[in-house]
Amino acid sequence: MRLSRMTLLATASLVIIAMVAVATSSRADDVSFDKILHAEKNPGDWLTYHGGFNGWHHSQLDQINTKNVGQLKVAWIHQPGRTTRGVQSMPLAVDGVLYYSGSYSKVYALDGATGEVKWAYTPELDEDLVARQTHSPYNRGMAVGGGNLYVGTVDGRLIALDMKTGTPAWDTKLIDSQKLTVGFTGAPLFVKDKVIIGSQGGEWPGRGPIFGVDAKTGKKVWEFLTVAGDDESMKTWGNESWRTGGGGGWMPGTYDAETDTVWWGTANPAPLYDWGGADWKTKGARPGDNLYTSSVIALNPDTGKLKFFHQELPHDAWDFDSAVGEFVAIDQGGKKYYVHPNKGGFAFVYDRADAKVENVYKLADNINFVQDIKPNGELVGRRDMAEGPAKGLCPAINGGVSWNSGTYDPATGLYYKIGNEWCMDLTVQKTTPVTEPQAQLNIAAQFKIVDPPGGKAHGHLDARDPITGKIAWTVDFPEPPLASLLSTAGGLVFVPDARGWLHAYDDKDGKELWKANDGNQHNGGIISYAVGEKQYVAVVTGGPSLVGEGYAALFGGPYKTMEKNTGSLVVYTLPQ
Amino acid sequence: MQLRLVAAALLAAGLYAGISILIPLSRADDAYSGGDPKRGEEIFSNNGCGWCHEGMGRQAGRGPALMDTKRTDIFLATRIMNGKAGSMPAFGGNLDDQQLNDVIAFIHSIKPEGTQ
Repeated sequence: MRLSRMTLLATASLVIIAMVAVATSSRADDVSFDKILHAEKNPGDWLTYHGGFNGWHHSQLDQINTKNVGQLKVAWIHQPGRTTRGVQSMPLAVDGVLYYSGSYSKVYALDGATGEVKWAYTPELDEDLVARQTHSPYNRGMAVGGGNLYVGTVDGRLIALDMKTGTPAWDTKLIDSQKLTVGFTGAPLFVKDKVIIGSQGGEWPGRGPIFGVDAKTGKKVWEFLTVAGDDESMKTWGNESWRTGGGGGWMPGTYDAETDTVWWGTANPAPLYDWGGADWKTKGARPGDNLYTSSVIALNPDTGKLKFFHQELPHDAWDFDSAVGEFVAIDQGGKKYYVHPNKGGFAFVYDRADAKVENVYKLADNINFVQDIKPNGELVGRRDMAEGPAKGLCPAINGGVSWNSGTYDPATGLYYKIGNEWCMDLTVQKTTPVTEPQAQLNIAAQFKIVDPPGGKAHGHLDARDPITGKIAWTVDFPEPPLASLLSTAGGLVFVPDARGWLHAYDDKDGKELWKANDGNQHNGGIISYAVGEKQYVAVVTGGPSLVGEGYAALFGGPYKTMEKNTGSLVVYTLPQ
Repeated sequence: MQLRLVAAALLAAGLYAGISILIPLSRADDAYSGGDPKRGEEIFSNNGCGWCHEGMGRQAGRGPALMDTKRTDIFLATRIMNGKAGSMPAFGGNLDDQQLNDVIAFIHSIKPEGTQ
């Protein structure tokens, strides 16, 4: 079997791993921070939610490639049992072991070649609380490092598990979820000696905390409040509207080692929508910019202190938040950028030094909540709605992009990302300020999802220049795919779609080379890893996600009868 | 004993037993009459029910349409109070008996857009 670049990279990686192991005196499978920092040197592993701090969701493995992908077959399947809202997580792979989390923060360690269970862990959750939560009980992934796996829970805890045995090393209650209603659904991020995790927020009366926790002891080291956490941001919430809260950072961001900075996207303010209209700076539910919601924030990983930020949507009146955790590192023309998609359907291109906006481009066609966003990040022609009906707001609340990630392939230099086309009619309503514990969704509108002008709601995969946004090729889908994407050095882009098909496209021209149906919708992650000299592709299935559960009403067809609250992990490889 | 207390106790008992349990309603079906649809509409809005029941319950979205529902009041009350895992949160901790009746009255009052 010929492994070409993979073999060379693996050999080089072994040397480097050995050097790091000696330098840090740690066990090879402890997953040191150095190993995560240089994830590209271990192409057989998948060590962070985003596949590495570069945020590429890209695998350097090339055994499965454009010439043989047509032979791809299921190697094994793992069925996680109680799977309310499906499996939405991003698996991790370390030294031939595959780890993933399911609903209720259940965690599995599986033999990467056979799927045999090494251990499984099921936390005991506050089931009464879970029953009262809306965005629950899915889990979107874990972090690994320092010999542990780290997983958040919807009842407000962060748990460390010994990655060899699944035994809890510590279990820290970070949020009073009985009071704040929400907890953790997103994956943590392991940075140096800390585990960083952001809470849900958005529609609930909390202050959207992001935490830094000591990885060894589980002790909370710092807490950053995304809602009015300092004097400056407090001034941006008129009439003490910070009490209705929102914010949070429910997807993992990334870490820039060159500046020692954690980048994180934050969620929207509450309530969703606002009746302030054009007078939003002085009137309505939450007068002002509402910092640091719908923003990209840069934090010191040791202290949680804010270094710099950019608020993508001042006074977000549309639920188009910045919580998408994707920060795609691109070095081009002597400049260092992060590309970050906003739920409103725009991609923001940032200077990694200071979050200065270098460009903004559209990822979706149907956008009218603003006329445009200038290349410097300035919003033009905001559509701020007063109380009453408003027709044809685009995109719909589901977003021009969803929370799952695209992928960047350094070989093609293209960024592959799903765009969503749908709109909605709504009626903005004044609501009573919600500040009490155990509140349900705080939404100042009723709405219905509708087709965009002149066409049907749909989605599209676009291959773009990541900095300019110029499209190289596009593949249309009858419904927006909602899962993350994967590109590989085999010249492939994998797209798990909403009907259950896993597609493989040629990354150069978008030609479909292979597809197989996983028997259920896709709403989560996909990775590639290796065991020995064999490459695998692992994808999670099941749902519904919060967006996908509207597909039956919007699209009909298979979504009317497709099974819900089930899911699995499906692993593909080439035949022997 | 108030319905919500019965609900909470039985829900806790069901969870303790590790099984799903619905509220066995102590009230007759007509006991859900007498709600105020206007107050029910406010409760519906303030609790984000329209997130799933689009168009103020007129059409299906993430959840089913509620207008012209054929469900019994006992079913509606049970679903509102207990929720459904993966589909709908339980509102048993948020609503008292009168508020529950108000929401049910609102559901029955929903008419096509422009006719209310």
